[in-house]
Amino acid sequence: MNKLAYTAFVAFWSVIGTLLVVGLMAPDAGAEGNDDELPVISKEELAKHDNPDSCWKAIHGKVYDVTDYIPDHPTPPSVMYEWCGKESTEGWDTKGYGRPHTKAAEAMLEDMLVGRLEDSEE
Amino acid sequence: MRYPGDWLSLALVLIPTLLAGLLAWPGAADAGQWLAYLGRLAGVAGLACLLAAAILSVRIPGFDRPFGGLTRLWQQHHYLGLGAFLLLLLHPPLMALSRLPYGKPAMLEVLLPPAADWAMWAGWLGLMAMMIFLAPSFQFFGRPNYQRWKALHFLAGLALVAGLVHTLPLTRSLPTHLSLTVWGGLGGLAVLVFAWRATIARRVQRRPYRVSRVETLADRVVEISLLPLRGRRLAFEPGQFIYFTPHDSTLANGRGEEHPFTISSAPEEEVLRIAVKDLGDASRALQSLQTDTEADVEGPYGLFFPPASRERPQLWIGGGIGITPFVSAAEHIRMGGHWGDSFLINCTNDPSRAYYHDQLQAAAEASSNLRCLDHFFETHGALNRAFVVEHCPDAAEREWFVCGPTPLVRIARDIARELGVPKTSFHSEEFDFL
Repeated sequence: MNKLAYTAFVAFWSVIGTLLVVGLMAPDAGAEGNDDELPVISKEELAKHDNPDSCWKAIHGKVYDVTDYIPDHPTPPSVMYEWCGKESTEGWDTKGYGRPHTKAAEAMLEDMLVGRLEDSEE
Repeated sequence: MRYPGDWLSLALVLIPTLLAGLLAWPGAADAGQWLAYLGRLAGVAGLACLLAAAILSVRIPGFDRPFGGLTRLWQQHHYLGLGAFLLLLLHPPLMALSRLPYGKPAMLEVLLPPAADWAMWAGWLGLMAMMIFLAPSFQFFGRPNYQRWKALHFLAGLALVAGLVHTLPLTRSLPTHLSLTVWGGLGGLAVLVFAWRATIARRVQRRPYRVSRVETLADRVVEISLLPLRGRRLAFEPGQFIYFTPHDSTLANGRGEEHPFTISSAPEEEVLRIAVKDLGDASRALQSLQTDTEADVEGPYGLFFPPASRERPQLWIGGGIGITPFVSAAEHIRMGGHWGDSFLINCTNDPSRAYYHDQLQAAAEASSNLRCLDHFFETHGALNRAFVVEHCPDAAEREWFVCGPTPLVRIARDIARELGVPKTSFHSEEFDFL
């Protein structure tokens, strides 16, 4: 039993060490897109997508179609639908206990990008 | 599932794990989501094990009985600790790997969270605390000092609180209200138990005693007699043990330290007796314990002789200092205690180490349902099946009670197995980090 625990302990630090080295040293292949090429979406257009059948949200100057993801989101759908068709940056930055969404969530959000909000300073 | 308490242990772990397993089932998800599901499930099950281990460490006389005694309860506590350790070590790597599909920065966020992300850092703090306080329990660096190990074990409190601080805001596996109910209930109970153990438990549960006599039984073995200073004497059963804390200011070691010792006196006696063999610094110092000094006694604990087995014919095998529960039971029988027919094999190296020989023989002569037989390693070799069957032909039909060094318990278990003794009829006690 003690050997099992010790083996797990060594394996844990080996895996964590490997992941850290890979994460810190190898460059990330991700590339930033050019925002200027995105379709410009007006605030009036954004406001039209304010329902469960078509839910768009503006976050940091970009507009995302989150309609299909809402059923999978851990937050109750009723809360999520309140922000459809609206500026939702604050909710994005201060979810739950006040911390921003994770980088994994950012990556997932990029797949839902539909355009750039007009007159946005970001 | 030998005792009703086993179901409680199982429920404490399974309820959160099954709820999370079912409610967060990812269905047709990608590999990353499945890894996240498994990682979270490992976290939930690991935290449940940690909290259950804390709850079971409550150490209140009587609480251990539904679990088959404190020794068995501590074994469950130990296994739950191992479960928590293994599962919680799986949690961060699985969570980190689940983020890989979203890029390395997403993965690194698990391993090196942003400074302001206190919930994530609380998780790492709890994990580190767990590694530190469990490393001696699993003897990563050899056999630890008993008192140092106990002191370090209090880091469990930090691991518990940090684990809850990490889990409550981050939970994804359970809906918020259910998460608050499950973790609030389990966590609240675990923290209460920990606070009880860390603060007032000793003051409330310890009874003051006076050392009335210290008698040398053999080289490096003494018997300490104790009388209550206040209140009634301790009510106990043969085979139970106490935590003994001496306050003799002349002790070279172990003053104010508690250690477990099996009671060797009968429950009917006014005086409470324990036998102490020199096995370490504290027990060595106790060899020269002064009479008329104060000591604390906490207990009784343990369930060596389960009530349902006491009426049945029994075979007792005691070795070395492990003879003490049988001395208590033999005296109990001699004083008219209701007990099944009992046959004792007292295993020692040679006659000089048969500490209680005369007392046991006297008890056997006075009781029709008790027989005592010596087995000397020097003369007879290791205990074997032929010896047992020759002197106790109906051994296979008896309840077996074995207390002594680990090799003797192992030999006795092998003989019992060869004779077809059911596992439920084999009872053994080995002390380790109680």
